[in-house]
Amino acid sequence: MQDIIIETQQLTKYYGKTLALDHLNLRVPRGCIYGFLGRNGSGKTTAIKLMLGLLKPTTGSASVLGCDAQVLTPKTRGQIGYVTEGHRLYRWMRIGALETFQKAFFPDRWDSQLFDEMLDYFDLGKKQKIKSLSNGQRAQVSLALTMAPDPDVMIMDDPTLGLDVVIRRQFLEGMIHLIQKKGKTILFSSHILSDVERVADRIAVIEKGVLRADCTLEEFRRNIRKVHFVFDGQIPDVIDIPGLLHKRHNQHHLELTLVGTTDEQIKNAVEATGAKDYAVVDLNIEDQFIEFTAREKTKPLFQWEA
Amino acid sequence: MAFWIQISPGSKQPIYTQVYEQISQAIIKGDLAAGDKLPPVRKLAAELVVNPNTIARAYTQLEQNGLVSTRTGAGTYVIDPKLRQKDAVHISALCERLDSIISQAKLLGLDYGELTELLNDRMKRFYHET
Amino acid sequence: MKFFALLKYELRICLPWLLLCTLAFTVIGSILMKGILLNQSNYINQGYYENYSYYFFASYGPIREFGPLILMISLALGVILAVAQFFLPGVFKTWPFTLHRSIRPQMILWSKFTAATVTFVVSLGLIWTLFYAYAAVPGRLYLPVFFTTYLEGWIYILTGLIAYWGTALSSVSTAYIYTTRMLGLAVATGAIFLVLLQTSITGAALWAAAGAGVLIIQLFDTFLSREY
Repeated sequence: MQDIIIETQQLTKYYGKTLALDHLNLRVPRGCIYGFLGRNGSGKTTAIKLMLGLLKPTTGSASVLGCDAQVLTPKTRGQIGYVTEGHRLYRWMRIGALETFQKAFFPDRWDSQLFDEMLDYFDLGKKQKIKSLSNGQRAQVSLALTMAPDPDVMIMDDPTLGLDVVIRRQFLEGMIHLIQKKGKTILFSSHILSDVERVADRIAVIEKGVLRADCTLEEFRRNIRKVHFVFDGQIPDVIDIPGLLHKRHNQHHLELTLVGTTDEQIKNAVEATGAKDYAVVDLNIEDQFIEFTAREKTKPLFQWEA
Repeated sequence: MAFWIQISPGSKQPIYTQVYEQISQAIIKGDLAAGDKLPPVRKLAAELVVNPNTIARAYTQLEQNGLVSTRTGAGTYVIDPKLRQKDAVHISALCERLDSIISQAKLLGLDYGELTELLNDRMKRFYHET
Repeated sequence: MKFFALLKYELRICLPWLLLCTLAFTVIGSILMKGILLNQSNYINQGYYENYSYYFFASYGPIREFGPLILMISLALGVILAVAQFFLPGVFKTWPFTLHRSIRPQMILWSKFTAATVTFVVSLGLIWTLFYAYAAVPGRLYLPVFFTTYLEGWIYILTGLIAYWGTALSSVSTAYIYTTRMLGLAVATGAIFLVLLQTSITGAALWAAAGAGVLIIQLFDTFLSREY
C-alpha cells in the first residue's frame, strides 16, 4: 500500500503562451481529505485533469496510486472515482440506464444499496432523464455514480460550483461517509472556504498556477494572523518583521498581516518600532484566504471620504 | 445526551477548538456528568459533517486536559471531577476572573511590577512559603 | 461485459437513425422498384446493354437505378452517425465522463465503429439485399439482373462508412488551423471520389478499404493522443 496517493512533480502546463500551472509540486497522503483551494481560473481544473491524464503536461508529471497519469491503467482508473467539472452526463439517458451502464464497469465493487439509498435521499427517480434534471440534481446523480463503486481515491473538480447550500452539504456528507472507511483518500477543489474548513485535513492554495501553500488546515489557520500596532507619533516606513504579507495604516494605527510569525517575533518588532501598544487578531478562514492571496494595493477600490 | 454541538465554520475559532470548548462547557454546566459517554468520533463526525480527525483532535485535547478518558474499544467517558489531575475547566474559569482583575488593575494605572508585588503580597496570606 | 455496456450505449444512440434510414430506404426504394417494374420497356429502348456511364460503375440492368439512392442515404447516414457519436460529446462535454473508465480507451472507438457498422448493415445492407432478392426472382423482371449490381450497392454502403470515419476524424480533431481539422472530411471526400471513378468492383473495393484504413488509423491516433 502506497503512502502517497496523488503526486505531482514540477507539473507545468502552458496553453499556447499562457501559463496555467507553474511547476506544481504536491503530494496527497493516503487517508487524507485534501482541499484544493483557489479562485476561479487559478489552475485547479487544469491540475486535476492533468492528474487524470485528460490533459498533457508541458513539463513535469503527475501520478495517482503510483501510476503515471498519462498512462493510467484500466485497473487504476477503476479505483479512482472522478466527479467531473460540471457533472456532464449523457443527456438522453435515464438515471436507471446510467446506473446499469456505470455498474458494468465495476462488476465486483458496485454497492447497489448505497446507490439506491442516495437516490432516495436526493428524491430522484430512476426513470428521470438526465436532461430534465437541474444542475444540482445532476450533481447528485454524479455523486451517487461515483460513490457506489466504493472508490479508493475520489477526485472531485469543484463539485459544488454554483450549487446551493443543501447540495453542498450533501457532498460534504458523502465525503465524510467515504473517509470513515479505511484507506480512502479524497482530493477536491473548491472555492467555498467554509466547506473546505469542515472536512479537509490538508489544503493547497493555488493562485495563478502557482502553489502558494501546501500544509495542514490547522497550520494554515494557525499561522495567518493580523497584528495591530498603535503608535504615538509617526508610523515608521519600514517594518522589519519576518512573515510580513501586507501592511495597511491610517494615522497612528498600523495593521500587519503575518504568516508564520511567532509571538516572540511580534514582540521584538513592537520593541524595535517603538509601538505604544499592540493586539493580535485571529482571522476566520475567509479573511485568511483573502489576505493570503491578495495583491498589495495602494488604494482600495471602494473608499469612504471621512 | 442533553448537550448539542453547533459548529460555525466561518468563525475565527478553528473547528476542533469549537468542539473542545462546547464539550468542556457542557461538562461545566453539568449537561455531561461524570461517567457519561461521549458520542463515538465517527458518529459525531458524520452528524456535524466534519472531518473525523478534527473530532479526534478535540477528544485528545479533552483527554490531555483531564476531562475525559478513552478506553480502547469501549469509548470516551467524562471523568469524575474528584479524579481529575488538572481541573482544566475550573482553571479556565479562574483565568477569566484573573483577566478581569488584571484589566481592573491596569485601568487603575498599576504597571506590571506594581501588580506583581500586590499579587505576591496577597498570596502570601494564603500560601505559606516553605 | 464492459464492451457490451459501451456497445449497448452506442447502439442506443444509433437506433433512431437506424429506424429512420430503414424507413426512408424502404419507402423510397419501393417507389423506385415499382417504377422499374412498370417501365422496363424504357430500358430496352435506351439500349441499356451498352456500357454507358450513368454513374461510374460498369453496371448493367435497371437495378442500377438504386445506386444513387443508396449512395445518398449512405453518405447522409455516415455523417449523421459520426456527428452523434463524435461531435456531440464534445459539445456536451461528456468525454471526461466516458474516458475515465476501467477500460483501454481503444475499446471506446471499437464500440462506436461496431454500432455504426451494425446500423449500416441493418438499415441499408439488409434492405438492399431484400430489394435485390425481390428483383432477382426469376420472372419478376424480364430484363436481366446482375449480381455485380448487388455488389455495387455494397460499395455505395461502404462509401457511407468512409464518410462516417472522415466526419469522425474531423469531429475529434483539435488542430488550431481550421483547414487541418477539415482534413478528415477532405480525405473522405477524396477517397469516395476515387472509389466511384473505378470501373471494376475489385478496384472500387480496394480503394474503399484503403481510404477507410487511412482514416481509421488516423482516428485512433488522434483520439488517443488529444487532450480533453
